[in-house]
Amino acid sequence: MVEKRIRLRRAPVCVLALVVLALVLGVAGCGGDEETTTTAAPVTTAPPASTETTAPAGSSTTAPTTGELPADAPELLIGVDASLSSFLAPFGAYQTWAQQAAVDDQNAAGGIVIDGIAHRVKLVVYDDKSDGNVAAANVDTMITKDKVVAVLGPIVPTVGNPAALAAERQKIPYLMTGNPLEVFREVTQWEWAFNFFVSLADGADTVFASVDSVKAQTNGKVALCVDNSADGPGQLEGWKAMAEQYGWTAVEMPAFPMGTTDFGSLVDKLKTEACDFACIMADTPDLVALRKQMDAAGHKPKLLQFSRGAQVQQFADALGTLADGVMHFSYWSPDLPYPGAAELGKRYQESAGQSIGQIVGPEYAAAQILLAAIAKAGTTDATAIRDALAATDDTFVCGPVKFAEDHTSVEPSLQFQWQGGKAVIVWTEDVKNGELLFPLP
Amino acid sequence: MPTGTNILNAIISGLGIGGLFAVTALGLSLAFGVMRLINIAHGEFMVLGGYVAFFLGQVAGLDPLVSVLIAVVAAAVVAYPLQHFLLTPVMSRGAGAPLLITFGISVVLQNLFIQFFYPEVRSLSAGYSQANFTVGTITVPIIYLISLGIGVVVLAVAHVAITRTTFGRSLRASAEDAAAAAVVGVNVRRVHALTYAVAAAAAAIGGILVGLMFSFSPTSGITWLITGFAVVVLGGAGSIKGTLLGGLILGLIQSLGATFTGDGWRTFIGYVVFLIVLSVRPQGLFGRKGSY
Repeated sequence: MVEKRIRLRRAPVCVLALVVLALVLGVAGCGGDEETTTTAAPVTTAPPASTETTAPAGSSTTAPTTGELPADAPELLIGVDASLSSFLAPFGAYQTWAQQAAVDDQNAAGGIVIDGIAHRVKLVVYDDKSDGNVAAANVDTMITKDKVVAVLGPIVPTVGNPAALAAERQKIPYLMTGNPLEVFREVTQWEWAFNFFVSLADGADTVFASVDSVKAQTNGKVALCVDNSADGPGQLEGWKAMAEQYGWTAVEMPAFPMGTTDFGSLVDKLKTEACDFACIMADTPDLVALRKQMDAAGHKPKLLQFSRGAQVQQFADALGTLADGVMHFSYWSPDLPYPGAAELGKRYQESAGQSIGQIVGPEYAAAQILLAAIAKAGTTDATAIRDALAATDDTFVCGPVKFAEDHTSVEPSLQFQWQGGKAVIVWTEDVKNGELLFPLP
Repeated sequence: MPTGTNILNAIISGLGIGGLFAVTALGLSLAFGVMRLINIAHGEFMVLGGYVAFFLGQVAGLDPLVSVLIAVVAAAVVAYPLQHFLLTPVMSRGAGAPLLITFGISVVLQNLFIQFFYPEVRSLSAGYSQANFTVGTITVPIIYLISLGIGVVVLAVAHVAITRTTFGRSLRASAEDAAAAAVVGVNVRRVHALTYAVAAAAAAIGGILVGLMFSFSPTSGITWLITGFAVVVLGGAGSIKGTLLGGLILGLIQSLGATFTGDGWRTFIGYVVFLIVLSVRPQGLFGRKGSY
């Protein structure tokens, strides 16, 4: 009986030990200079965290320097919601690296002067687990609990739009990139949220313009398929319009849910339709699975366009040579002639030991733009910061940014293609640094 | 309307995926059948298998299927003490406490994966994972045959082990009546811990197949956990034969359903059929009445 009591008493101790272990791991995950918290499970910072501090790259609108920041400089808190786990994690990792790098640069240049006092900028990072509801809750928490003065939002509309709406409700300035402009615009008339990115219509045009030179070597048929994400329908409509404009016969495939792993039916339909060009939009894990299954089924179109999930280096790393020839439209490269772009690419390479993700430039720029606006406002007043953001008109590491009345700014669409594990710009003619690989190897 | 070729391709695909489903569900079936334990961490043991194979591939260039031997040992080594020290003490307290503990184990494992492997999407590859051969107009991906073959072999081995070995006798006795089994000298705690370890090992094999056929990340285990539950319930908890057939049936239903309606309806159709079976035969196709 005593032995049984001892055994039973061990049970709550074991449960407590497990809880403590989970908490320790969660806290251990909160490394580096940035404070990382979450409304759900413990989260880690996105590796590798930038610890380099160099002068702010590019923008001419950095804060007036006050020399080195004193050790007891007050903090200026900026909220960051990022997808650090689940299927959008590839983007979240780039986002937090880039934004921390920009903040480090700003602090190295003397921080931000608010009401005459130099402040050290600090990011408060939350993981939305690739879930829009969590993203919105995170933004509410960072505003009400952490008292951030502004928010940098996550990538892609499924998390970005709910997060932006939360900031709108709280009347706090919010800046994001990685959200196609049409999808952002159709949510509401924004008053506090800003977005700079590509337009789906431009992107669709880029896709078909980039392959126009080889169209004659194909059967002129293009298969179009998207997942059921927020930007899927807009992308599909854009592709259909451009396919017609460029003289392709479009064959629309049924949409599939995000998170699909088995594409047997889609691959079979692609083979049956025998389109020489296939355009598909999905997230990274889905596209990796699809590309593998296409190859395993012996289906190889001459041209293959994967949107959204194929931008990230992980896509190429996961597929190896299977990624070669896969195109994706994107918006930034260190090879572009923007101030600080090349240095940022080199810095990321040294820090991460791998090629830079295309979202790194815009995410660095997002932090640059927001910090510049706060510096220009010279106050933590939300309205003043919002107005300074709205008046942005400068060139950053991502290129020129000027917000229109609807709080959007367009970035140029470029066509990339994976070649030997590297993302090569194959269109537009003025900035390309490689030739289109045709047909798909 | 799908052609004959489409339907045959769907059948091949469905059987291949079904083999994967069966392997991934085996551990759940064992855990629930023997210990009445709903193991929320099951998906994470699958992902663990994937990461072991990924790591061995990167460091030593090992083929993923060769890595299976090490992955199953690794999963079992991790699982045995978890069961022995964390779960066994609370097994007599009803279903709630063990369920919560396995949830905690799931969270801890996910975070460990993120810490050591980062939240990136990973994939396993080998020459055979993309190879195929053609029979008439039908293309047969080799990996689907491998998946089906591994599923059949693993479950056959499990069946033999349970029905023909001393451990199997102890396991069946513990599942039937743990108290009575203890009275006749069965070390029930050790049987439970070994069962949990075997369940984790089977999950690891499934994880390697997932990595070869699809991709994985630290948080992708939950998807396979849900599928595993569906297979276990469909086939009947604790029934090895039921798990194999349940996996194959679910794979076929989903694949054929997707062929007629699109991949968007694949999962929906699979689970509708699952619910119909559950309502007509709650113990599953091959389970015993009163198993739940």
